[in-house]
Amino acid sequence: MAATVTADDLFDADFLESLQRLRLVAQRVPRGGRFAEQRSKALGAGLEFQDYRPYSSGDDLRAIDWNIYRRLGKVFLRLFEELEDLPVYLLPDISRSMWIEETPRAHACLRAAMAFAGIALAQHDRVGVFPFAEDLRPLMRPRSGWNCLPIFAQALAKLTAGGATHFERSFKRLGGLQLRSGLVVVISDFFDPAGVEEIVRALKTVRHKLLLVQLVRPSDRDPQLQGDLRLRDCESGLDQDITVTAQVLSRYREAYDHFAHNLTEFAQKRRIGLVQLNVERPVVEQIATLFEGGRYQA
Amino acid sequence: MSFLNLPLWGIGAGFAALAAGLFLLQMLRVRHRQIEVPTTMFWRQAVEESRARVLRQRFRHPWTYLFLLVIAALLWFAIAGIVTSSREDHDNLLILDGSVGMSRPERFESAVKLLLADAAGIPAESREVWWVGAQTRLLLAKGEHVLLLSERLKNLQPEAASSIIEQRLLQMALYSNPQRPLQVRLYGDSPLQQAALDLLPEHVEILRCTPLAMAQPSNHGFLSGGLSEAASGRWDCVDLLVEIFGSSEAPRVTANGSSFELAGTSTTTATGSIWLFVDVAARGQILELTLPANDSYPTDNRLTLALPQRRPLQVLVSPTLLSLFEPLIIADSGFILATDSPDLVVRQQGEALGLGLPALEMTRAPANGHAFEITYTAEEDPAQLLQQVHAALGLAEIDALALAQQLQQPISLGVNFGAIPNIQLWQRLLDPEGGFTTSRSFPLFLGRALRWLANTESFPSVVQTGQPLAVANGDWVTPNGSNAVTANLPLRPTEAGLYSNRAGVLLAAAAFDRPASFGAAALPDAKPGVAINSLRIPLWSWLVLLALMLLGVEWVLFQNGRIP
Repeated sequence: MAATVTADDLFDADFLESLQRLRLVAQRVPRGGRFAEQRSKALGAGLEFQDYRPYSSGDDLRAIDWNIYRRLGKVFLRLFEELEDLPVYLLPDISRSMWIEETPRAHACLRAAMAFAGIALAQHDRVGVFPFAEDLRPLMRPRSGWNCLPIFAQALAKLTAGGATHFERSFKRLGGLQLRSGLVVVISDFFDPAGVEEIVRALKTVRHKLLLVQLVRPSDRDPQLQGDLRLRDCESGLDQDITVTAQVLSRYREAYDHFAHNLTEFAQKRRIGLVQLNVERPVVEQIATLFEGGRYQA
Repeated sequence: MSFLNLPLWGIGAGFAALAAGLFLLQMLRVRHRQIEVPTTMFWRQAVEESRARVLRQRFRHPWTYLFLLVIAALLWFAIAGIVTSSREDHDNLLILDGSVGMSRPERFESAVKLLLADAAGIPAESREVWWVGAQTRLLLAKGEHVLLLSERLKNLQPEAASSIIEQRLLQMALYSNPQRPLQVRLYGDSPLQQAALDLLPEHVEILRCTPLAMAQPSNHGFLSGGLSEAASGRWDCVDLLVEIFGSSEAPRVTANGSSFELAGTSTTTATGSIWLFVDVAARGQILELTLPANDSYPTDNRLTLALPQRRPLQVLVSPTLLSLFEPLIIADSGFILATDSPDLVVRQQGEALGLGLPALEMTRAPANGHAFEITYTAEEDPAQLLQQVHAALGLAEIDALALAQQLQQPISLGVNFGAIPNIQLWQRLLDPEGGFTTSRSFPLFLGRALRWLANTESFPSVVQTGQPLAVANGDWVTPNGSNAVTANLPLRPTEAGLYSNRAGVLLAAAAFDRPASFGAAALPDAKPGVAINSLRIPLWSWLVLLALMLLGVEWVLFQNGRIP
């Protein structure tokens, strides 16, 4: 089992500096949030004009549009768009498959989680962390404030390997938390022994905006294996004897492509973001590709 | 390890065992290498089924097995050294020259190297390899593997013998199949005379496959040498003549290992000098003549000669004949007048003197007897003996017609068989009025008659390897201690050195080789041969090459994941 990431690894100044120019932008955050920078469905005393409505008693007199009253003789109030925060729920996969191999995917996973947390906190959004494996558990309830970032780093650094991946159970648990609608960022290898169909089915139950971050490495599709092997699934513990031949490799790639295709197709149909991070390369550079012009429209 | 003695079925059985072994290895359960992976769900979809943990499993990789089998078969047959049975349209006779001429530095080694290379390049079914040195022997029969040749050549060295290649070549050519061309490849420097080549049948072609000889910048040596009766007439001496190449210096001489002073006269020739040593005392000593050894071909710097044993004969003469014979016997250094233990006797017929000894007897002339009556002891043809005795006793020198007229009686020669050698002649022939005793032929007759009675053999003037010696019969022991096989033919020395017989006679055979001494390499005899092996690669090399190529292909396929 590879060593975990320390808080210092995650909380480094250059890393955070590189996140400053990236922004998560929501179309409309549901009302009920705190004042922040995201456009919300709530109308009130914002800066962006949104609509008019007839005056009723008790309304703030400062919102009356006197120009309309002069032309029409009726009293209308000017309504402005409320700016509220976007709840961002980070779901790092801490299943066992994330912690093996020479460069564990967990390292990239935690750095990606830290990156999204940094981006969200910088724009006064609320960020919560809900790691999952066999089940989902809240690590940090949503909170905001840039000064919370070190706390996130310390919390993420304390994560250790869990058991087998179970998307269905984890997302059912997420639904049960009755969280305010926000952006769910799933950072995982998506290697659920139940198969990609189960993953897709579980993701469909999520009533939040989704952003899928798939952690990959080149050998996922082109494994450098030869000869007669006994492969042990690190999560299920089951053995699979194989003899690597050209035919077997070809069928393996077909299976992998089918898996990747299902995930991509789901993302495209739902118009949700899907980014593949090569765990063997720097994380931020790859996340930046998601942000066109520095913005990601959630 | 060698498969040379393994029959074809043995090689086949070995290959079958190899195939079975490989098959069993394929059937054994695979020992998997265990690896932990993030997920096996893709592999589960990729493989058809999970394999049970059994000792034996189904045959999974036929192509891999086939590859291994072919590679193993190629290596197996390469090690087995199989050869193709293709025959050429002609026979090949490869002759390795083992005569003394090949003892020049590196000549023999070069010839052997060429021979081995050529023999490997010729199909075994159509080649024979022969050794022609002092003796002739088969080195490699048809069908035998060339590896045997290299083994048999290991301890062979040129022998101290003159070349007999011409004779052997003629014999081999004559016994060859006239319906099939024969190519004779000669590996050596022995000269072939054009006259000998002309005798070869038309289907025989001679090629000389000898590498160019290196120049011998400074060679000197004995080209020939021999003995003759002393020209001075001295019975107990011989004259000695040697021909030296490249030097006019007198050879150093030792007799039985001790220094021996020998004064000679020399004549300068175009190639060196000829030395003559006269009246050398012939006491059976072994003369060793040597030249300085500081040249490029030391083999010809030594010449050994065995001088004959010329002991004066003890002759007992009847007092009645003493007045006539004494002066003649004293005058001949080969005789001594003896009174006791004589070797032979001269007497009147019926006289009781020296009975049991070979005798020269004077008889009365019977009416119908022969003037010269010879009694011989060996079982020989009388007619042939008559001719021999006529020449041996010098009777041809006698003026028989004048003698017959003087005696009024025919003069004749007769032979008969007896226990003791004897020569009888008429007393009348000795009468002064007959003129025989006063003729110049009488001392000659007396000397030869007495020596014939004493059975003194003449000696060969030149004893050279490969040359027959007509005078030397009997059981001879060769220089290496074995008995010479003569098959009732005159001895033909095969190697240089001392030959001896039961009578204690010694002969020193020399191996003169003029071309070797001259350093001649380009001999105008046979056509120059071309190395055969230059374009031929033995089958086993191809097999190994093919196996290596297949190994390379297997490696590429393995790297590409085509085979496990």
